[in-house]
Amino acid sequence: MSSPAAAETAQPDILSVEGLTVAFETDDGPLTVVDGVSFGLQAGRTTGMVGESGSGKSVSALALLGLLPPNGRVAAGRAMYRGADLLALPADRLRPLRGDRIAMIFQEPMTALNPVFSIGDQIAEVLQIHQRLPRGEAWERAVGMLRRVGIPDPATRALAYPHQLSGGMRQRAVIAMALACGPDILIADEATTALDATVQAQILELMTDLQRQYGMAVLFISHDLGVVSALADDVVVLYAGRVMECAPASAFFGRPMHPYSQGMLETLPSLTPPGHDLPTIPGTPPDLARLPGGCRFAPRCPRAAEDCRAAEPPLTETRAGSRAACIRPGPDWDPAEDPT
Amino acid sequence: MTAAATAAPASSARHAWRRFARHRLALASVLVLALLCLLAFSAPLFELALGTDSERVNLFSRLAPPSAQAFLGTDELGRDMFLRLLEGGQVSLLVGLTAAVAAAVIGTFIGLVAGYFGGRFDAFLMRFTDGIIALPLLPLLIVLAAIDLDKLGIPAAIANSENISLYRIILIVALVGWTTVARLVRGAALSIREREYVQAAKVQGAGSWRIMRVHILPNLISPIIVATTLSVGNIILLESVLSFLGLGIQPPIPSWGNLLTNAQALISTAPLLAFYPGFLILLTVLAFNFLGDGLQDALDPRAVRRRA
Repeated sequence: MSSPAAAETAQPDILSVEGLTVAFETDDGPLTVVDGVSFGLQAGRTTGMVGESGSGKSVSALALLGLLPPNGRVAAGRAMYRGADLLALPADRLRPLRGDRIAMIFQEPMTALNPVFSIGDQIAEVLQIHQRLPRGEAWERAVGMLRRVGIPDPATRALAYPHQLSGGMRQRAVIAMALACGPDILIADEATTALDATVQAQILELMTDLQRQYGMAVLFISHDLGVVSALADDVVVLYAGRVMECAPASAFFGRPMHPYSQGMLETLPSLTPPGHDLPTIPGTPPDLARLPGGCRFAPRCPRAAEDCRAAEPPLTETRAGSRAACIRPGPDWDPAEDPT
Repeated sequence: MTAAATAAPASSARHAWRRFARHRLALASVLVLALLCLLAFSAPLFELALGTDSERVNLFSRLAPPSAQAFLGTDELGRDMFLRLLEGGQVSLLVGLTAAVAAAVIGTFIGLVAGYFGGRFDAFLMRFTDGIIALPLLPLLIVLAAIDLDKLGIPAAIANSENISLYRIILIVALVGWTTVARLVRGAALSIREREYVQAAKVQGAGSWRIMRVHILPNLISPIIVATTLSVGNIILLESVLSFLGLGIQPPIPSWGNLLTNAQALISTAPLLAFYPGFLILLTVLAFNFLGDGLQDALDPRAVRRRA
């Protein structure tokens, strides 16, 4: 996070997603919930993916792992990982990658653990699937993983069932499970949302530590900009299934270019002086079945003009390493200066 | 939370036992069933001690009253009623348990596969299950029981063996008795496969069969055990009905059902011959039902709260 973003973006992507488009079959015909999303992940870096509920964050992640629900399908796009396109791999070649090279952790640590097995068993299972370790050895490694994620007395805790652990402990166990095989890529879907604030801080710290140790690429999905700002090296902003802005975290949080990003940042409570109402972005996200023509944020955008409604603005470079899908990008936009 | 975390992992089993022990009837049922099994399966010991066996005919002491030699008297052929009841108990309990377990295995497999894979596969299997349920059971069993195995090309050595009626009834009951468990398992599998830990298991790279075996099945063990226990009673009743109709276990192998049939003709002269097997059937079926209820409460904590 400390080194200059420009130097690090030069590093090759370990996962490079281009034009990912996901459609769901509904009673009213196909519905495109992720529309041409592109981003890259680099080893040792954390990419924060932010957006409101329903903006397509989780669906993008599930599509990468080939785990879309039965009515969802990848309509277009590529996701290149070590020379293979994850979106085109047959199920039997994708499955060995899941949990081994690409791991994912979910929002709710209670429900992500099977209630009838001890956490040690569940971590050992991953190792048995992918590394074909004998049970005893897998168990030893599981205990070791629990120690690495900061669970005290791991040999005893490995015997505990999920309901016997606190929320924070469970999320640590889930992280241990995800990292058991030393993955290249970790997808964390709202991994700290269900935890209370102090535990959340501990888990974030743990994830930062572990990333440093393992050097993996992390895709951190969250609707919470505060959490993302604490963790991310790069930020991808999704709105109604499309990338609105894509920038290094320092640039993004310093001078967001897209009006949606600016609106989101202004709604953070910490930025509002006490005694003032929290600003909100007027309106609601669009119905994906009835998208407005042109820019899909235009109906809620303070800068929207006639040309915004004409065509969907492409993602274009606004400054080194940053791209925004906006005709009038920029941090210091002033309505008086606008020619229209 | 730290205190809870250090609790022994076996605590859920201990809780279940505590809940079960609160159920007086279920506890008594376990004792009754254990006693019945013990008695039934020690029949050879009694035969040895009494110096006779359940099939020895003694026309000089027909319909004898209870005595030190024959605790419950003798039947119309002078056979020791006590020993015949024990032997019959062996057969009835064995048929009930084996058929219940076989039906549960079939039902679990069908329900699990239907519930997990879902879609058309599920629809097909469940319509098939509906079809089996809609079959008129008793006429079907009567027809199945009347099939001449010789004509099916089954070797005579097997078709005419003494125990064939036993195997036949286990098979028949298992073939029609799996539907309850299948529906139960399918419903539960449908809901469990949507749980996040199943998704998590997929994310970890587990395959379909592994997920079914490792992540879904263990979560279904409690309802399967309960349903199987409850079905043992029904199967013993079914076996009694079939044997009573002369289509189940064939004499000279005794079963509680065909002992009843035998006693039917003598109901006015020796009513006790009908009472003994009838009472044992009643007792066993009741005990299995109480046991099933107790297990349900013990294994499903929510049920206890509902009762309280």
